[in-house]
Amino acid sequence: MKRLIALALVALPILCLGTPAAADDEAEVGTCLRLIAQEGSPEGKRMVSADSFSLMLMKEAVYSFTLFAGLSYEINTCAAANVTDLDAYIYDQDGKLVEAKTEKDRQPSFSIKPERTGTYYLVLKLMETNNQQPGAVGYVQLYE
Amino acid sequence: MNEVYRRSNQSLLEWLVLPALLGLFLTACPPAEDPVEEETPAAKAEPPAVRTDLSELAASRSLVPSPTEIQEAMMQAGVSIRFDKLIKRRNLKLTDDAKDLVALRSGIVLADLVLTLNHSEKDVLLKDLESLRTGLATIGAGDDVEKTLVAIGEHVKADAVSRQELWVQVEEMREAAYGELEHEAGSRMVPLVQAGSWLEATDLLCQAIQNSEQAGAAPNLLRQPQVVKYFLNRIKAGTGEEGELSPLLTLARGTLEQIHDIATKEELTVEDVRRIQGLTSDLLGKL
Repeated sequence: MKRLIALALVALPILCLGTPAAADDEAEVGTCLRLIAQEGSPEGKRMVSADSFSLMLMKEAVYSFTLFAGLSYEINTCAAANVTDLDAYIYDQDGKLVEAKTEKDRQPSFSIKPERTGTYYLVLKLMETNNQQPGAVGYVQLYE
Repeated sequence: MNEVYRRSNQSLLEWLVLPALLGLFLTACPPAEDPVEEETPAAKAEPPAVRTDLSELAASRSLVPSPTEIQEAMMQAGVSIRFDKLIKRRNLKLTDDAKDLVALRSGIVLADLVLTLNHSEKDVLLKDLESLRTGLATIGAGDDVEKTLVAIGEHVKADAVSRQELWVQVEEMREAAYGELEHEAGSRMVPLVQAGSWLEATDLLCQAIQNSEQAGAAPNLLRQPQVVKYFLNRIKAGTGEEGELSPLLTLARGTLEQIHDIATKEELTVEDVRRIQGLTSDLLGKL
């Protein structure tokens, strides 16, 4: 029974987000995110959150953040080598589109200085890969 | 004869003019260096200008601000009292107790650790790292987290890392620990650790605002109802270890419900800050 539950726990995110990309791809994305956090640290940039995952073509992943008025934020993305186009959008707490990165770009990023403290949403959508397979992608949120 | 002449003229035309035309064509239109045919990008649909489904779809773990982020936001808002000057270390029970409570306490330790990281003495830092290791082990974080914390402690003992480098190591460890806890200990532990950290940082924020001569816009930093709602969604009866909430978790839930009501206000005042701090201080004192 425990095995079934464990299997369900593993399978659920896969069903929601996509089949797992190769472990190498996941590791590549993790390394990229870590590098961004490390490079930002001497400049006084601190990591708030980060995550990496496998996404199916034309599927979305949505993250919510609390952003404070007065702070500057960077949201950077990383993608595995097979990803050729990742779109990213920021919405505010009322669900209004704040900024969209829709040009053909593997690793879009945002710089945000919110005027008001509140909840914001990051939407990542995998638009294209060079092999029509799911792609490993991730984000890291920094502030300074 | 004429027919032969016409044919020979036609051959001449074919032999001289057509190759010349072909050469001209090739010179004027050389093949592209990259033989890959450029695709005409298909027009992308613009993202919707308004969405109402995001709060339901969003992963909420990232919603909770870090203690240092709260402190930095407060300083940007004009209150310049550092949290490490206000921290009172508590004697927290990190073993032999309900995992839910140890998770909350581990969050408090994590907040104290990161808020004092730049200034704390080596022995205090080592004690914090050891407390965190103990707490996370009790709630079921895996071996990797334990090994990482031990390794960080060894680096500190040997003065092998700067505090700057330590920052990155601790931040990476935190994210890795959350990921591992979700797999190893269930979906409830991470929000509880986060709630402990958030309550500690919020209490310090409230203290700093009250101690400051000018609060400025700082009270509005407490306007985080979605964060509190995220905690309340996870701390529910029937989802605890024994199915029912312990008295302390019942108190935590009640405290968060009251904070939620205050945090939904459009503008917060110093009086609201005082009320929130009364609630957080009471709860943290009982943990």
